[in-house]
Amino acid sequence: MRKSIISLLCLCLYSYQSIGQTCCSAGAPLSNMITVDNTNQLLSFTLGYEYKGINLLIDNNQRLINDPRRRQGQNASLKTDYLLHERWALSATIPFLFQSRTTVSESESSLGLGDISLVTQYQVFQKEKLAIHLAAGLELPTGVVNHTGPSSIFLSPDMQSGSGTLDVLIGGSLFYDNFINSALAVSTEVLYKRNGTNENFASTDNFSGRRFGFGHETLASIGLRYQYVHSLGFFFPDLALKYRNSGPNREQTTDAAPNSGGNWLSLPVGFSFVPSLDKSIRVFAELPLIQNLSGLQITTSFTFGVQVRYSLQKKDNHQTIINL
Amino acid sequence: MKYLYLLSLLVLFACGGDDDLTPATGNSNNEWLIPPSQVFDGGPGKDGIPSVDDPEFNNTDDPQFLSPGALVVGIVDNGIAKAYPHIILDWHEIVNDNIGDNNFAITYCPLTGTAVGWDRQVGNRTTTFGVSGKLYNTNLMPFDRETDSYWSQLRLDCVNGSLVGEKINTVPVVETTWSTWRTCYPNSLLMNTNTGFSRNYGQYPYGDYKTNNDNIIFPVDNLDSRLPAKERVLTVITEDASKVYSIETFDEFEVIEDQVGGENIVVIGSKQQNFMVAYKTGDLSGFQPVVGELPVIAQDGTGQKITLTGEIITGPQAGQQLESIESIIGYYFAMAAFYPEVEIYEE
Repeated sequence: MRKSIISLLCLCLYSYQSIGQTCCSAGAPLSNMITVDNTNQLLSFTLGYEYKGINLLIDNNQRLINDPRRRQGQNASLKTDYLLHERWALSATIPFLFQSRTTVSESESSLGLGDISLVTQYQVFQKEKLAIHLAAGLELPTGVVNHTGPSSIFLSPDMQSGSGTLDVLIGGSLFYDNFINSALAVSTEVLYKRNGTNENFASTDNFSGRRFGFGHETLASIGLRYQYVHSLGFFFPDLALKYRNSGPNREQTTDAAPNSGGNWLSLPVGFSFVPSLDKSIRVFAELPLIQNLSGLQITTSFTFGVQVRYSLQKKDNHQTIINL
Repeated sequence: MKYLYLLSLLVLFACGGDDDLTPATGNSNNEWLIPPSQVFDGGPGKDGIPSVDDPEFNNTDDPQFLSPGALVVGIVDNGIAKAYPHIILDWHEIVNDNIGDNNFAITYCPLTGTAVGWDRQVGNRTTTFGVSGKLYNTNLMPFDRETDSYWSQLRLDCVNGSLVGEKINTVPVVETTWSTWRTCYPNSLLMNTNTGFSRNYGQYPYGDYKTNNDNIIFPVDNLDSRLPAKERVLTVITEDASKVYSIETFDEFEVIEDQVGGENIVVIGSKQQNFMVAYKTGDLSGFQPVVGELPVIAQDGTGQKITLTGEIITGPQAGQQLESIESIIGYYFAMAAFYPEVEIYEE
């Protein structure tokens, strides 16, 4: 029984793991929770907050210093997971983004609704130790794309809250409990995001706008999670290795804009506390390890965040847990 | 509930930002001489591409960081010659400098390939220019730090801010290879890479942009296909007309006597030596190319020899200077965008 509960919690926390979303370019996407909760909770709500410092200036794989810019991105989101069926679940994430860019001469910022994502997840396989899920979804062009700066000039696409495009997400995940020993679990995730192209970015009544599309993205991660049981509840420290590849942005007459796209390797770490099955809190951070970028880009220097989750459990939850 | 409280605190804390920069207010003037909808934020932000305000120079025959065939922007004033390498300008776009009392800025836009010398005396003030991060017709828009006004490099005027409508006075510059420049001006100072910034000078930061005619990153007004988009041309600009001369027109050494907007001009160029210059002819005529005598590049019908920077060095008018005419080297697409009626010189 206890082992089953722990397995369930592992799955629950596993679904907290960010697997990425492009809301911002310059090699600095704001990750978000787009995986569907794959526990047997009927309905759950996750309030998330993430801060990204975007202050590394990289030329291909070399760090440059004396960059006169400071960039940051903040993302507050509400994610709702709904269990449609034993194997099917649906998730919606509503993000709000704040971004700022500061130099010695000017400070510009934007705050607004981001692109809402809708993801459905199918449980392909689940047995005592192993769970496999596939996910597919859309990111809708709901975000604000007309933020302007001083002198009423449109901010660049990476400073907008939304992309203005319909994007497609597909992915899969694997979770294996009792890995090596009973306190350890391993998980791996893969996600591909095909970003659309906005043919009319910054359009006005007398100007048809500019063509822009973020590069398509692939994310893959593998992580370990340790479980510790205490009288206060369950504690789960975790550690992962995350790889991200982004293709070049599409701009005006070119599908391979310079200084965009590349490869990133980072180290996400997290710590979760679960006082009871229906509540949990997780804090996390992500540190860059290796960047091999196309040309010159300003990219993420660090990330940290927190997620708070509340669930309404199924009436037959006890049975579900037993069946696990 | 206590989790929500914690979350709120974190958000508020983080919104305070990590900025150790204290930006100026910025220009919030909404009057533009150009359609503001066609002014684009290039991404780095104002001063995100740092100008060099305290350039350092060397006098050297063999700079380790610069190949002989690398392009430089050269200026000569009061007998002092200075050269500014493209490989540095690619990363900074503006160098604020002076020779004696002559305060100028070398402005360079990597996206249009245009280098223009600007007088830093604006009105009764001496200013410095910075990179605004904005682009019009995919071309650099400097801002002046005295009034925070925005300027257009290729329109040569102020398009937004308190100086709107003011014309910039240009300073004649020559674009050529380091090898040609050094041959012409052996004592020339060369800007070095001690800019105060760590950058990969020598590594072009825009991929295949220079040569890929299909790669234009921002919208331009008039995509003219009469010449390849990235063809390197010299554009002569008068009040009433403009005319481009392609580098392909000039083989070894060529001299073209021509008329643009009612002005008699001479255009002298060499694809081999990689330069193109244009001057008003004044009362001179019968120009012929002079090969192998750099800095001399031409002579007039009476045999007076003329240097790369337009100085007459022999004959009765020795010591005089051919009057300069506004002329800018850059990619053809940019010239056609700013000067849609531009005429193309044909042999």
